[in-house]
Amino acid sequence: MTAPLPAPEITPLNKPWWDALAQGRLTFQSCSCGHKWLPPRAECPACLGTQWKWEAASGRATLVSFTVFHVAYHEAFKTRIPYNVAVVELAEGPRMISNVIDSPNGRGLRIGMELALVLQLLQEDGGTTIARFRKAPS
Amino acid sequence: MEQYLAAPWVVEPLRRDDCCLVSDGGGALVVMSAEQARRLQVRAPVPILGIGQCQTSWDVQYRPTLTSTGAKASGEAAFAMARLEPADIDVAQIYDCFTITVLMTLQDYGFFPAGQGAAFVRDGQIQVGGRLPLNTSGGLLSETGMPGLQLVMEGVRQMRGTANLQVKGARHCLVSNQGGTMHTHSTLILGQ
Repeated sequence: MTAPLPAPEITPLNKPWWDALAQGRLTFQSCSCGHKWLPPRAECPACLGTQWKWEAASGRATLVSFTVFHVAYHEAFKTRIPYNVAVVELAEGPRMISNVIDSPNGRGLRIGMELALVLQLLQEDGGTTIARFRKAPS
Repeated sequence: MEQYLAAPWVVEPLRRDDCCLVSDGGGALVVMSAEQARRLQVRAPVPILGIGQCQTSWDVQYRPTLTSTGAKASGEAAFAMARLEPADIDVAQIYDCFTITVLMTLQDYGFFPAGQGAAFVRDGQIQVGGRLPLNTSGGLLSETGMPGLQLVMEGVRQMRGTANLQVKGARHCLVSNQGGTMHTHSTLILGQ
């Protein structure tokens, strides 16, 4: 029996991000100063300004770094280890923490390799759509 | 080394013995001006020769690089204030939440060129008697995971000459600390 993943905490700030994922789009915040980032923040991490808007990502990304979890720190992960946790950089610049789904144990992953967005609807996990990645077709 | 390699992965590439325990605890230090210490006739006061702080980002994914931290800028500030260089440091207490943290911190402080950490620490060079004795009370990995203050306290003991594993003749002690996911860092240089 696999316990469901904990549901994300929806806030007024991050709701547009989760809503866009449910509609099939990965978005990020883009500031008038030019900086672009994830996860959602009220102020730009570069200039602390609040003149930002949501933009849609192309889904192209590169692998910055990754680790492989061999210990479950939550009930829901007991049947899911090993799994990788990756820092990926979107083609547009923002970095996010995600998973590369075609190699849970990390074998064959290389820092700098190209990745492609996969939106997964996790029915057994409360219907949340999450943004994951797979190796880009060469 | 065989025992280390036989231990299971926790979060690969870190094995069990790469990770410190999570411990609760408390500690306190009394900080005052040198003038006040003289007036109160404080026994064996330990002067702060240099301090530095740095925050590189708001969270791990915002860090501009994953192989360097705020140890670089905060270390430079502390060494400049103390008018010292890494070669002047006789003993160090380095925040060692994980083994990799020690190598990254020493590299950013300028103890060795990028990528030369293994050569710097091998063959007992970070034991008492080596070129840079580290974490002489055990640090987070071997004393307690209570993060931070115990490193300053051991630094004070080293400068007073009262440590259990005393480094003979030590005149300068370097202490590091960090927070977040290695995106904040502070550096302290103690003297006599």
